[in-house]
Amino acid sequence: MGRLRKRAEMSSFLYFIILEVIVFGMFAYAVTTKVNSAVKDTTFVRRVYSRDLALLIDSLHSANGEFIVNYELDRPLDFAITPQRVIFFDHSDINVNKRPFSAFLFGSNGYVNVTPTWMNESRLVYFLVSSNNTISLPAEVNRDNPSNQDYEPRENLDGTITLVAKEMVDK
Amino acid sequence: MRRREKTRRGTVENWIEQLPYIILTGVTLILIYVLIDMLIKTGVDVKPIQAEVGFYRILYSPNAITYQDNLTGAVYPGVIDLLKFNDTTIDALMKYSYEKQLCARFRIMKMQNGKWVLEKEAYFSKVWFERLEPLASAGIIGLGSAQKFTKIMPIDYIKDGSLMQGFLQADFILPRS
Repeated sequence: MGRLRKRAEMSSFLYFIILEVIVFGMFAYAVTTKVNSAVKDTTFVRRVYSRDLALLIDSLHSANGEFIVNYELDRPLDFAITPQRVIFFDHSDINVNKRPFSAFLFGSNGYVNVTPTWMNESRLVYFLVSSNNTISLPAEVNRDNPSNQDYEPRENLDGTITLVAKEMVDK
Repeated sequence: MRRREKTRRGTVENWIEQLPYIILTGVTLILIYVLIDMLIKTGVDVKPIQAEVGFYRILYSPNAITYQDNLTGAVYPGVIDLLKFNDTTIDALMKYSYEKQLCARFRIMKMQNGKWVLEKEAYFSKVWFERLEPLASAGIIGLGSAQKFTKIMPIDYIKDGSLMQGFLQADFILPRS
């Protein structure tokens, strides 16, 4: 009787240990997956950059003189500057309007022109130029290998963006 | 037969005894997962910076409320021209596609008989300021409410060709949603 009881206790203890290992394994997998997805997610980064660049353009509207701002990203992101807002997208080949994005508004007026710009070059360094009442993000145009530098974003009434080809200008 | 029944009963009894601990372990692990989920933040609050940028944009912009030299085009942010200090001038400085993005009230105060009195006030997006100001002043927290940021700075202002001293009080209201 004592041996039987002891065997029953041992087996239930073993089942308990197995169950705990399975539960902790599931927990560790769930937490690791959650943390990995949070690390890879670009939502926070897109929001920071969209707000930062929009507020920078906002403050450049009152700039008196010529400014060239060296703007650096910590990862490749695509972005569009329209006359009213800055929009950051994840860098990919998916259609622009189907990608997750983060946007932020800046105040426009009739005195300063903001050049609509679309950037998807995987670069990390850009130059924001404020000169002669115009704010722009100039990029070198490579006629041999035209890229999306040759397109500018047009905002539609429904909030989507259409990329329109710019007229090619000789260097 | 009796021995097997005793064995099964012992096992079942042990499982029933362990059940509360299993449930507690499960609940604790779920709560840890929920805590980790809550601590992952992706929101970025830039409202104080928006108010600062808006304030200095209005002070430093040409064709704004501040005195601008006609010959050089230089702007003097500490000197306000009362003739240009009105809703029309301020509204023309910034246009947002979302009207509620930012609204503000600017007041020029002057010292009279030992008390601060209002000399003149002007608004940026006056309609939305008057709608959101009660919410912001009440301190209500929620998606439909607003936050108020106040800046005060000493300025000079030009009234009828004379330079007067006073304070500029700027109240910025930004909606939480």
